[in-house]
Amino acid sequence: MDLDADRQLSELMRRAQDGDRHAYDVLLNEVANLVRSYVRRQLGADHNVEDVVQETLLSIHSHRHTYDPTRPFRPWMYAIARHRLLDAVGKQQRRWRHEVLDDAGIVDAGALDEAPSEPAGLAAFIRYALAQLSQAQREVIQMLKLDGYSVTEISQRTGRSESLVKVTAHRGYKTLRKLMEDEFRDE
Amino acid sequence: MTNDELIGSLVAQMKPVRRLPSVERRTLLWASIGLLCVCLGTFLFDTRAIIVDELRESSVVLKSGLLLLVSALAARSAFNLSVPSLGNRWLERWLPLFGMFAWFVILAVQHAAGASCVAVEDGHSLFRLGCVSRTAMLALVPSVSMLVMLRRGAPLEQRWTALLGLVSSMALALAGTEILCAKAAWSHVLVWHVGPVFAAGLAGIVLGNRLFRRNLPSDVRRVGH
Repeated sequence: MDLDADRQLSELMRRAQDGDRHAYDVLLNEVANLVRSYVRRQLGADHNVEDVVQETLLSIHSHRHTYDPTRPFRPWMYAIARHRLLDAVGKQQRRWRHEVLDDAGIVDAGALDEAPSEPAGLAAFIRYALAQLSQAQREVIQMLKLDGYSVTEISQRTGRSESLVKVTAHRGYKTLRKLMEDEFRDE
Repeated sequence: MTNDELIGSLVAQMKPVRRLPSVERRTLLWASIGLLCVCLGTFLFDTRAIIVDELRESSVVLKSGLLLLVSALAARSAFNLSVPSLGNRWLERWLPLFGMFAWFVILAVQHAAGASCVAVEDGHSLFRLGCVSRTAMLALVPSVSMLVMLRRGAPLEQRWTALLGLVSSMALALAGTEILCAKAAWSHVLVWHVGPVFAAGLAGIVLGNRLFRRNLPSDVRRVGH
């Protein structure tokens, strides 16, 4: 941690707690930049990043009396940002669950003349689920199931042994199955 | 709303704040209130005539001392958790719960050694609700003051905070109940002394999110939407 930078942030917050608006303005702008970088590292290029940044700023505003100026600032700030991030991910998962159930209902009702394109909510969930796999698992499953390669072909292309390809795929399926079960289990 | 607009609004509306006192001060303040209430309540509930002799027994002193220590540790952990970034150490959270378990083990050892097989006074049976209501009454003021003080902070891990806060109040109250209640059967102690502490902890886990849910102040809410 850059101690000088943290001391500056700590001083800005101390002055803000005493009512210095200019210090507060500078602080919040710096916090927004730091939190944005942090959240982008966790979520990637997701449209939720700015939502999480704003929720964090609101929480910092309402919790600012809890900051102790004798302690480092950034652990305090990141603790709040981490919880707002977890809240946002939780809300997104609940939204996906709701969207997937809605989409399944439309398909079952047979209300459409032709097979619908993949529901947006389901596609988003599948993308999310694949993102939870390790890079190796994602690569193997994509090549096996989406690109149509055989185990032998994947082994030749990736340089992994055939047994390793099978084990990697099996572990990936297990993770996906668990994610699906968690998402579609009735509450 | 863009971030710049949000920041501008927050800055325009901000006022000086009164900083939260340190964790140590808050713990000391709460412990003083709690101890005073429990001592007063214990006195008002009519202590046993043999209390002075009781306190000479090392096992009584050990158990009461352990309960007070558990209460203090749990309170400190709860107050730590009410400040973002504090209270993250694993041992700090679990030590009070291990302490309760140790108290339980001492009880079990005493029972095994035959020390707590004395019949309950006045023919009271296993179903002695008096201990539960006494513990609840002794715990009332400490619990309420604990929750009020914790809400002044900003608990992010609300279930853990509630669990430790309620365990600290109940352990303090139990120290009083142990003095008030005659030496009772093992089953009585297990159900009517230990049971309420366990139930309070469970209530903290279940209700933690609701106890510390805080709507943003109205001016902040308007800004964010």
